[in-house]
Amino acid sequence: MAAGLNFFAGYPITPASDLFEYLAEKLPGHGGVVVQFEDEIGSINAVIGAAWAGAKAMTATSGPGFSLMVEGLGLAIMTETPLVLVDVMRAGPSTGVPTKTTQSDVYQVRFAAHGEYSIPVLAPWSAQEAFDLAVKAFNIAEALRTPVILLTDAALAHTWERVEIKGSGEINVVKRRPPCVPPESFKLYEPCEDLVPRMAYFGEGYGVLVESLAHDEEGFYSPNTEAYERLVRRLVAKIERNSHLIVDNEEYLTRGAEYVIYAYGSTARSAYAVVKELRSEGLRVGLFRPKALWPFDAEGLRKATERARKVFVVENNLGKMVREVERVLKDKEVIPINIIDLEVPSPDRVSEEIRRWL
Amino acid sequence: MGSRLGTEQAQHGKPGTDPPERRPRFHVVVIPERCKECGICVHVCPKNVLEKGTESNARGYRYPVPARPEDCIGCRLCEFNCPDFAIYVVPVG
Amino acid sequence: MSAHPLDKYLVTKRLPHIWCPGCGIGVALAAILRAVDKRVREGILKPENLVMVTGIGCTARAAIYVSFDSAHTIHGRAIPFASGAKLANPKLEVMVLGGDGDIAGIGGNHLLHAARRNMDLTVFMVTNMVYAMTGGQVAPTTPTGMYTTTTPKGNPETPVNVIKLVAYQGANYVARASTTHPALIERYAYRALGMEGFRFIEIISPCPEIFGRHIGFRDPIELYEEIKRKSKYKPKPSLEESDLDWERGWVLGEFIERNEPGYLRRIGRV
Repeated sequence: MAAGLNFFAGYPITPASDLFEYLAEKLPGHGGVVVQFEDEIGSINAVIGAAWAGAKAMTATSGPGFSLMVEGLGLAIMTETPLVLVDVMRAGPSTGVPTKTTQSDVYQVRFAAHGEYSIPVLAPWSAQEAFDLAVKAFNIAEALRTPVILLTDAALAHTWERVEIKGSGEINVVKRRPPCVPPESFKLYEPCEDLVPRMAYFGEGYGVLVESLAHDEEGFYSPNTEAYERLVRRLVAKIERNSHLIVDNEEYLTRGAEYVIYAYGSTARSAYAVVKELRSEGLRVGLFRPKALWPFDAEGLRKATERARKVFVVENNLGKMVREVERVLKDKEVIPINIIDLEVPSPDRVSEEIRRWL
Repeated sequence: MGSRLGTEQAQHGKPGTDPPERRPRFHVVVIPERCKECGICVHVCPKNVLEKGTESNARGYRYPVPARPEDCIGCRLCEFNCPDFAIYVVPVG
Repeated sequence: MSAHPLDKYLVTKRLPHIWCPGCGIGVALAAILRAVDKRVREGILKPENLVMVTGIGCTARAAIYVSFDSAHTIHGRAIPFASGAKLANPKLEVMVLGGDGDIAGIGGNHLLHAARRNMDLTVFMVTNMVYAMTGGQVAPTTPTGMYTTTTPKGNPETPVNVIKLVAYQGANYVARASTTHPALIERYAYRALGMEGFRFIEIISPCPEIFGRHIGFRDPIELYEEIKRKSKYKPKPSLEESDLDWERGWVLGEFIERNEPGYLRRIGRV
């Protein structure tokens, strides 16, 4: 809400319903609209439609709902629609354990939609960061004309912590870039230098065409290799080349560290405690915590692990982000620490697993 | 553009030579490049104004011509039943 | 010399459009645009507030040809997209255009709930009784026993009666027209565009290339006459007469006209 959210469409799902219910109570009082749709598919499409009517729009769901929203997400990507999609991971596959946590969907959020694209995924680890990264998610969405995923999990969703809420005057809120030419000359998909097109929306007299087919800069269906290649390369590059607006890492004692732990989200909280524990025993260990999982910050990781001999990738899944770490740090020993735990893996458990390798 | 004007002139008849009751009251305008030769306009016209033409457009479709424009009563059935925005009727003058 | 009277609502450089010779979609679109034009000239609608949302299919391609704001979205999801847009900006006049497969097949759930909500949308469903864009598979409205590419031994299903479905959910306006009766399409569209709540107009249409081929003839005029013969107009027919039956024919007319508050009024956003 601090970022200017004014439209939410959603469907009940544990553990994301609380977010929906909070907004249903509060957002209308701020002039916003909150509607429960008949399913997640209706919800994501309504959010996209609202964004094209000028709204700052969002929805929230969990794994099974995200699976339903994937086609809609693809529509948002292809049409370059700004929106925020909150995914509160819960144990799967399928109905799984609705009330318990996991980190198993970190690849799904990046790769589930068909086609060529890139998408920013932010991963907070605390209630405070959930607030801050939610604002950032909206800003990235508007600046890059893209959907953005805010990825949390059941454990984090049920965490009670103190949050410092900044007033709207203290937060930097980014607005979508309007056209700078009159309607006759405006092209809805013509990029500026940063590969992001300006955005007109419904009701402004620009005659916009929101187009799911592969299109040229005006939005007209262009089934030829030249236009198609230009489009998909730009959709990917738009995110990857602007990653400086997205990636951000917390590095705790990584400088000169012999061992670096890579962890994110709720699991990183335990990893943080383990770093403290091992440091007190004299080990030069640090924590590298990406706040954005995608695009993957290879450069940031390489810099942080320059002196490291071993890099431990601690995840509450059977080994996902570790694949990226392995790909990027070919000359280092990368050790997957996969702990399946319906609660957040405890610091003791993480410590126990890591010590096997020390 | 040129061919549309050409069609128009063809249906005017020669001004001044027709008796008043035979002068066309409506222009039936065909946009040849949009036509797909479905034949519906010719079929629905209640006054048999239109005929399938002999000229083809760039896509090879033979667009209709108003062979008897003076019979047009301006019902616009051709216009309303055309799927291609290829024919319309406007009053003369 | 003047241009076609509807050219101001069309992206003329994209014409001729992709629809087949004798296809009714262009007739439906023209009639709808004439109704829109009337409302614009009356000052009831502003061109910059017009939005046409479509899904996927032959009918859905209409979004590409209209010059006002439009969206060519994903299969079956035009109605929720349109709902989101209308909710976010109540000043917009949002129309949905789609085929029977898009609106009542894959999109059926959204259709049902939007009608139930009396969501402030005008939905035009072009019924050609087949999935034409993809080559002629069975559709929710395909007549029983008919050959299609996915029911080569004959369709075992009964066609859906969308008129009843929408009417029973409480929509404000439910009507059926046909592209063989374009004046009806225009009249119903005109009336719908002056109302609020959920307005639904089914428009029967010939599909000479695909449906016509399935039933044994492809000539546009033959199929036009067949559809025209089977379409019986009644000004205010009852829902009991609303079934779609290829053998017995079907009834055109205004089945339901209500004046209940639309969804936006119910949530205080009018």
